Amino acid sequence: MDLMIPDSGLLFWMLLAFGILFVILARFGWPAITGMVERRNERIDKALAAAAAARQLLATLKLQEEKILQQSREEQEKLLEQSRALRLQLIEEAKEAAEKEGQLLLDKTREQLRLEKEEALQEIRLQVASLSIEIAEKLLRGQLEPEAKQRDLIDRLVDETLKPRA
Amino acid sequence: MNEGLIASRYAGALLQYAIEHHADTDLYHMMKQVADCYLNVPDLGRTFGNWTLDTEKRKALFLDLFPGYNPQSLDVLSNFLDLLIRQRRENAMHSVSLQYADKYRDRHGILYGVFTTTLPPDDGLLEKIRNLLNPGNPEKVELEWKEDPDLIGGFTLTLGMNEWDASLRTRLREVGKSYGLKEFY
Repeated sequence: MDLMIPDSGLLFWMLLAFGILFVILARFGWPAITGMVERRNERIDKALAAAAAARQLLATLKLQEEKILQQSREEQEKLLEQSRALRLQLIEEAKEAAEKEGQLLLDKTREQLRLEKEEALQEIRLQVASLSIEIAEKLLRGQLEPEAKQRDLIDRLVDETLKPRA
Repeated sequence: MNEGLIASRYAGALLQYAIEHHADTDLYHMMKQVADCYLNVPDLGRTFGNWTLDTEKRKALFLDLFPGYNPQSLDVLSNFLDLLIRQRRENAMHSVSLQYADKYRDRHGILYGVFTTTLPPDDGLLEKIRNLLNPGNPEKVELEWKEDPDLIGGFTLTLGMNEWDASLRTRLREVGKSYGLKEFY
């Protein structure tokens, strides 16, 4: 049991050592530790603030992104609308040009056909005329085959041509 | 110098020379025949102008054409050919013959015409034409006849700068033209 009863002298020295240790720690150890903890707290606070700011910034950026995306979508819609209109306009113009070209081609073809027809008719007319004259020539030669008729004709033409007119 | 002018001068000189020797009419007939020969014999001019041939042989080309003519007229022609050969003007002979005939006709007031038909005209018709062309002096009209079967019928008459075309070929050609035929005959 004596072991469980503290000796006053030991107690005294233990208290003294504890006091000295306590003073030393209070003087040098604890301030350093608490300072360190405070600095860490500050850093953590700062990091937390920065993270909040970043979050805030991120949120802002997200908003901006949304806005930009919205604008882009609107712009895209507008461009699509414009391009649709332009496409329709171009199609319309191309159609008109094609119709115009077609009409021109049609007119030209009609004119060419008309000329062809006229040329063919003219050709036929010329052939008929040529044939008629050839026939007339043959008939005349046949009719003038007898020498007397030829002489009569010459005689008459001499009178008609050379006789002074009254 | 101009060939035509040279020929004209030679023709004028030949006419004067022929008149002096009373051979102008004979020479007129000779020159007409010479002109015809030049048209019908393409090598005549080249042969007559060939200096390598003997002069007499070249002269004989023409002199042999007129065997029945008065010797005095033949002398005139011979002397003229001598002159041409001496002067080296053989190439002017064709023009001289034509211009001699023109000058002779001018001098004698002869109207010269070419009458073309498909068959030879009878004397009565020629006489009628002469009378129509020169009623006061029909014997001064000289008509040369040419045959052209292409006329079909009728006649053409050329007299100096005048031309009468009463041929059926021309009538048919005019009909063809009126139908738009560009080339017919």
